[in-house]
Amino acid sequence: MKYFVTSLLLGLLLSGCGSLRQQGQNEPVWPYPEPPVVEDDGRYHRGSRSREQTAPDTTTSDTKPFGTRPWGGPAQPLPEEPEAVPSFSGPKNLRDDAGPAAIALADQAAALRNQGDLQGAAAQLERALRIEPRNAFLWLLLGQIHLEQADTDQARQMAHRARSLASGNPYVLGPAWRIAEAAWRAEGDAAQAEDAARSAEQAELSQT
Amino acid sequence: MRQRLLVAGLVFVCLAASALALYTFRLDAELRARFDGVRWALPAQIYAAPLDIYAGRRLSPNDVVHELRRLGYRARDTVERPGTYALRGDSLELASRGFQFWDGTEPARQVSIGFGDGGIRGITGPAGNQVPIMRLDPMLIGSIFPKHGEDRVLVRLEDVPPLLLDTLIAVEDGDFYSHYGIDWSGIARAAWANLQAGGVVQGGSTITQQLIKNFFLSSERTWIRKAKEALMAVLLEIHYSKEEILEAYLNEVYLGQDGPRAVHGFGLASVFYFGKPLGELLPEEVALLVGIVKGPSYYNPRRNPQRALSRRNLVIERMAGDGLISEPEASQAADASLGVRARGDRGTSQYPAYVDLVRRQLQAQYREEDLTSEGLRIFTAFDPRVQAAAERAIREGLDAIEQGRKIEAGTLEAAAVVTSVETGEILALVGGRQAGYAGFNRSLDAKRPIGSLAKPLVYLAALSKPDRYRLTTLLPDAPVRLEMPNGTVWMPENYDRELHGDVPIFEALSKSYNLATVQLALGVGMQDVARQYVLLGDDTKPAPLPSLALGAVERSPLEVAQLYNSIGAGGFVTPLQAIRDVQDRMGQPLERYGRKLRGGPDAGAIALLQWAMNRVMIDGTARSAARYLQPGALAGKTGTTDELRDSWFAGFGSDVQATVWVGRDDNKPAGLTGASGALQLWARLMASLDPRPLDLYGAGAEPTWVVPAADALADTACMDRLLVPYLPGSAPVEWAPCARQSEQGQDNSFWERLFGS
Repeated sequence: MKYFVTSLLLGLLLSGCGSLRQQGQNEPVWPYPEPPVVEDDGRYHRGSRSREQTAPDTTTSDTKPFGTRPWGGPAQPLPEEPEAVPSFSGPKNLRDDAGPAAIALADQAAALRNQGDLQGAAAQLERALRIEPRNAFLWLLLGQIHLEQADTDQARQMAHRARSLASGNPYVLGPAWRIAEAAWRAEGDAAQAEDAARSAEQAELSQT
Repeated sequence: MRQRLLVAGLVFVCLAASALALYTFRLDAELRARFDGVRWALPAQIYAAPLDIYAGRRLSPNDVVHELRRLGYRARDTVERPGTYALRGDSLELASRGFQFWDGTEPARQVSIGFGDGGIRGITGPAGNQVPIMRLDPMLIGSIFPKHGEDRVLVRLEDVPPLLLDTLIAVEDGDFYSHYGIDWSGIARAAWANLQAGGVVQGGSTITQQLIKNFFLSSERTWIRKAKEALMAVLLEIHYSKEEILEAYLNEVYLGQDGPRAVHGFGLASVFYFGKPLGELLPEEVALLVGIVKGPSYYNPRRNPQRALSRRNLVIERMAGDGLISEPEASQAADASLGVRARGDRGTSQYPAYVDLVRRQLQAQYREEDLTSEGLRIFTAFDPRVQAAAERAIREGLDAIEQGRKIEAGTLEAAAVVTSVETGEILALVGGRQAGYAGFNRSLDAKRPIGSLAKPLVYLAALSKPDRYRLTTLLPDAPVRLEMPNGTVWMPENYDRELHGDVPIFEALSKSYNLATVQLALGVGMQDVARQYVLLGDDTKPAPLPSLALGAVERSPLEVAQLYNSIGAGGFVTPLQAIRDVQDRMGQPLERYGRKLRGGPDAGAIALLQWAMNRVMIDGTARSAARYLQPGALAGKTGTTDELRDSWFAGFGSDVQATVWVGRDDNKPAGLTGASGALQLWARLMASLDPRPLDLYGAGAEPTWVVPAADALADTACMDRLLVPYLPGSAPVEWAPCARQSEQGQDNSFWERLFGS
């Protein structure tokens, strides 16, 4: 269970990090960088416009985005109110939201994590957070590392920090609640874990 | 008879021979034990944070060059050797040094850094590739060595420039590679010279003998000691290779004194005298170091520059004579100045307050002997640029205050703590007016009453109860009379000794009204107020007495910085820390002090408090800061204690927090309020740090136009209206009398949206 959550989360957060996900075939691998979106505060504008037209087919099972699949279990049918869910156009992952320096450091973190060096990965992510302290995706990645280090308290705190910076972004809220859920579960608190899971599902419904 | 004598003689010779053999055997064991386990006492070395360089960072070419100079980089026309740079317009050519960090190796790089738009535009590698991020080697800011102890930077033989080795051997021991520890011809030469001079003027010791002397023996010049030294030198040569002996010598030889710190080895001497690593020394610098070996005190280039210069030039002549450098190189080297840096590039002398903090934090975890001998490498968050800004602000600020207020020069003292709001890292620490002098570290040890710095915690306790208090709740600024359990009566007064009637909560804070604050604290409950200290990361919960509301609680500047950093961090508390990582002497990670987060007060309440503390800057007690900086979106609070003994200011932007204390060491009145004293220093400091603005209407708070004095809604018809944040559902619902509540108001709000007012 824990590993399932773990791999899903890292897949989502570090998507595009070459060291984690190999793109062997030509078929599209989710997620693509999102088109640039300029909000009032001017924060979300780093996406690349070039691949705007190549959104992956979300119905084929292999390339189905993690985001539309409920977390923590096999795929289940989605509840039937798609119109009620506002489509979100902000950043969906780190690559949409971070500058090249932070991305380079996150890539290094991913490589270190692959080698089993969780301390080293955390150090790189903290370095990235010194550059972009308000990047929710970096906090999520660091929270995930803490989860893998069995530091459930810090994992939850970092997820909480990410939520406080989310500005309603379901691609932050979903994984943040999943980290919280896994942390509660690891501590044997089923009730809190269920609460977190419900919040996660709620957020994931808004992921388009 | 003759036979007996012969036997006795034989026995004596045999005994003497075996005694000598035994002694030699013992010496040999002692020697090998010492040399095999050659572990120098290596003091822990403390490093500043490395400078991260990446596109988009707000750094000017000057900022980077300044840092490069601090690290001993040299400006050169051709940038090839590590440790050199060239600034050409808005492009900086740089050959960086590599460094083994706790989280991996930073390679030496040759790059071109482009500047523009107020920051770094990009970094280009030699092949035209873009480098996303790089970091410079970190500056050594100090070491933890035992009292009167040895300090050194270990070097490996292969890292020592050949010119240094050749020169050293040429000058100190020409036959080093051929003798067996003792150089008879050298001794003969020395003896002849001594005989001619009628005293000991020349040593004749080989490098091996000098090493033995440094290792084991005192410096007394007796024949017994000479013999023992010679015997051990031969033994050493039998057991060890020339390379091993030379490497040990390079790290052991005594090369200078820095106060209580003895400078051993060429690795440290290079940093101590020239501020750069061994590999970057120029011929004249090599010559000086080798020249100093003969008498580090006599040829001290700082104290006796003339003597050192002629000694150096003698060595340069020798270098040219032996063909180690060409004649033109030699004359160029001989013309160069000594090039020795001003004292205290490293050591404990330059940033004693910060090094003191690091040592105290380490002492909780490591044994003293490990700190002074195990060669730990301590990586900290220390930011030299922030430290320089803080020291300058204190120095110039205190001078200006003393002059402006006719205070006797030199009587005021100060301390400052600068932290990174987001990371909780301590960036700079000033322990006193003369920052470079070790001594009373006021930033840690001056525990003083905090006065009105305590007020934000009262207001935080109140704003955490949105069903009872909002920013415009009206408080009575009315007399307070409290009978204390011990029978005394407490009757606080306002600073201006006046009563201000009913005032909105935020104004009571921004104008620092004592009576309204005490009324509020009593309404909230002192237990709740005291609890805020714990919530914000304070170690000890203060006693919940009414006087706590006005700051009758003693804290050091560092402890205040923790409280204010937590307020700045918006609901998440990060324990302040100075140390990032600890490595052992081989560069293996020992301990990482990772980022820690703790849940703090409610983020919404903190957002409201930050807004109120911004009013302190805009039209409250700190409005005079506008002389130095745009207070637009900064927040802070003044603090003044009884009879103007302590002057405090603490405040922050979204990225950096600073706490400043001004007062006198004898605790006599300094004659300064928080605004006329500490604030002036704080504003100078913050102006040079260029802090990022706060989000004053964040964390879900709803900005609403109100008339504060009426605690009621306003529209454009109201003259005294203000945009105040409220937590959802807690804004006033009544309209102020001035409001027209008409469609016109709506038109106006549409107009204003376009206009941006």
